[in-house]
Amino acid sequence: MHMLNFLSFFVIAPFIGSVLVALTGKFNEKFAKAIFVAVSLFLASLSLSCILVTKDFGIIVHKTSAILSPLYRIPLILDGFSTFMLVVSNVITFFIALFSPQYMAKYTQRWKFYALFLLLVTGMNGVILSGDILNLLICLEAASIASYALVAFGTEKEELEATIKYLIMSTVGAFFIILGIILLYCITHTLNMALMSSMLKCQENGPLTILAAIFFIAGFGIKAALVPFHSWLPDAHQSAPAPVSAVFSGILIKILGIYAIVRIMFNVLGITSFISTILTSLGIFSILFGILYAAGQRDIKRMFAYSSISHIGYIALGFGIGTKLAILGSLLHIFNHSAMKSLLFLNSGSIEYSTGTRDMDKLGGLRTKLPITGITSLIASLSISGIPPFGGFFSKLLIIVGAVMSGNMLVAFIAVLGSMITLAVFANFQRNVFFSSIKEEFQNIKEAPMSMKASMLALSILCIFGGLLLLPQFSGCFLGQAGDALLNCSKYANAILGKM
Amino acid sequence: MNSLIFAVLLFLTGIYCILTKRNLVKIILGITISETGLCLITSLIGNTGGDNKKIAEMISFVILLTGSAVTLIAIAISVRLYEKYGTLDVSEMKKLKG
Amino acid sequence: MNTIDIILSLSVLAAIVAVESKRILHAIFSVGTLCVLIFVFHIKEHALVSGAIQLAVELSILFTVARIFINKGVKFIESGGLVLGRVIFLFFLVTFLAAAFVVSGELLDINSVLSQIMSSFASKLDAQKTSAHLFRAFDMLFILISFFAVIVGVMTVMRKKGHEDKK
Repeated sequence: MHMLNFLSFFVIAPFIGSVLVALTGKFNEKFAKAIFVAVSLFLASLSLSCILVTKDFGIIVHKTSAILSPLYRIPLILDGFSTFMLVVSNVITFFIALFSPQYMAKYTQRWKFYALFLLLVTGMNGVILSGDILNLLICLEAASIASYALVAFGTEKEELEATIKYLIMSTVGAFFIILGIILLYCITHTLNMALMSSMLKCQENGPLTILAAIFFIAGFGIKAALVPFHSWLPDAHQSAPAPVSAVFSGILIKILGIYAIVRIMFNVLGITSFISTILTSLGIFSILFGILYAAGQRDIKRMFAYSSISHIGYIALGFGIGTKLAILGSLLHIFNHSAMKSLLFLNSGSIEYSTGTRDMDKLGGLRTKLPITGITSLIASLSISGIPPFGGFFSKLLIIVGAVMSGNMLVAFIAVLGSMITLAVFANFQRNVFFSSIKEEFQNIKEAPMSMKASMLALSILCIFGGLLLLPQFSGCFLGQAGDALLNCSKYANAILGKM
Repeated sequence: MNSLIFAVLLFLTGIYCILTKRNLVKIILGITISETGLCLITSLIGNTGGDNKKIAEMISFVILLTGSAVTLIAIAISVRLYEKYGTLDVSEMKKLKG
Repeated sequence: MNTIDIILSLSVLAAIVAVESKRILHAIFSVGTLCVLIFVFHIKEHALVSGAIQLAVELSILFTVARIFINKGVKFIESGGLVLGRVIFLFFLVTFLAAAFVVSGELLDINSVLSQIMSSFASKLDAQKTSAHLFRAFDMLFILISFFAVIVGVMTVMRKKGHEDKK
């Protein structure tokens, strides 16, 4: 059964798009914008077609560097979990890409933004598809370098300060990941994740493996902004342009951080109670710290950034608990939170576009002047606070029920507490920004342009119907496959080794 | 075995520099020192066998290139920071708080 | 003590001098000495290619740093360190040493472990011989991507005006 090896398109297409934008952007900006949106649309549709492919064909392995011996080849792997992350990443990136051109009108030399954004997408797709741990690191670094330049896009004082802080912390994280890779190579003598997985099953978890796991959690935890590695996140989100913050919170920290941790812990190293405890406790601390800090913020984007830390805590908690229900809840929460948080950041971009400020004390009563922004923001706030029937309710419910069923009452209580504080914080946000009386200077503001409205509406539809993913028709081919791929870790290794 | 201890010491010195120094140029030098330490650790692993040498060379190649790419962009950002703030002292750059 | 140990201990010394020096120019020269020493180490271990690449890359970066900061007229004296940073580093060091103590027994057996694994996988290896250096195309592609990102990124950061309406 020979089919076109389309997995490399996920990486080649945005790279070629980026080069094209870089070559032509200075002279013809419309063309650059068109390439940018077209490549995002192409990637989104390709990722949606992957769902059908995995349903029919199982795990796909695309071998590159076929001349080398199997120990050194780099496979590109598409299993249920990769498909899920690809769909979440590319579809939401497409909506953010739709939002960007109008918003970025107030920055100079926009073609650089489009080129860097496409390079970021290249790196993220490479991380998801890679089957070799060194390749994962290189793709991660490529995406990180593009993200440093994106955060610094406005070149104002605060933006540069946030960027250098993010850069230094992220580089230290990369060093820890490299240490982990070196340790794993010493133990298993290969860099291929499937081979590593089958080899580690033969030996019990010695101290070297545990040390490697700790290095990986530290390194990828810095990228995922888990507490106590979270301090770069609020500054980076506050200073970056709104589409960049949306990509960061909605997608980047989940792929570079959570996806990598989960892939390595579940499929390569094998989940032990020690690693589960670490993930659970990091999750709990993140939930509490994130939302408590968010309560005291005046700047909208800084508040959203702290709330992101809290929700990444929920996702890590679900994976840490490790039962089937909790993992399903975490996966659904990855999808929901990407949609909700991206929508919230795009809303803040739209507010800033129309009014010029992000301070909650100065805003008020905007729902009459900015109706679409107001409605979508209300939907996102209700969803993120866990109000039924929006998507956020179902994913949080699954995680909390998973915690209760595994006997961890304290964990479930803290998760519920976090959710209640989230409701309070976002109710406050809605009241201060949209529902009180409008200030003098904002009497004449206009709603956002068409493309921005369209992308916000599309994301809000994803928020409303997120819970439907749990229905048997959808969950079998989408969420269920992802959960399966994680829980049967020997299936990962055997299937890939069979096809290598 | 001794060599491994020295390589790890080199890496730790670099981390110490990143964590405690206030001048941005020193922090970037700390990144370079840590990176050198990591390359040294990989070369020492590579010395143990024939096949390991190729992989170790490749790992250190990757570490070097990505590390130097990050250092280059860090230098560019530091230059702009110096232009905006007038100083390279990290403790002076506290515009974002809370 | 053989020469390798002397070279490595001198390089650690050069690193410590670089970290604690009061003038940045001295720090840059110390890191340069460190790179040359590591290159000598690579020559002794017959890994000429990686040693040469390391020397070239790091010296060019140091040269860039020195040139840019001298041209900008930056004052080079620095003093003091961050207290919180020292506490964090101490905590990290203690955990690192504890972990190293625990695994040091296993690390000494690396060679035996590796030879066991290699013999069990000998049947899975192809008969084809690879060249002296591994060329993994996908890795090289991504390194190219990251350098392209650096070029565009540096152009982004160094441009004169970021926002349209601000000065």
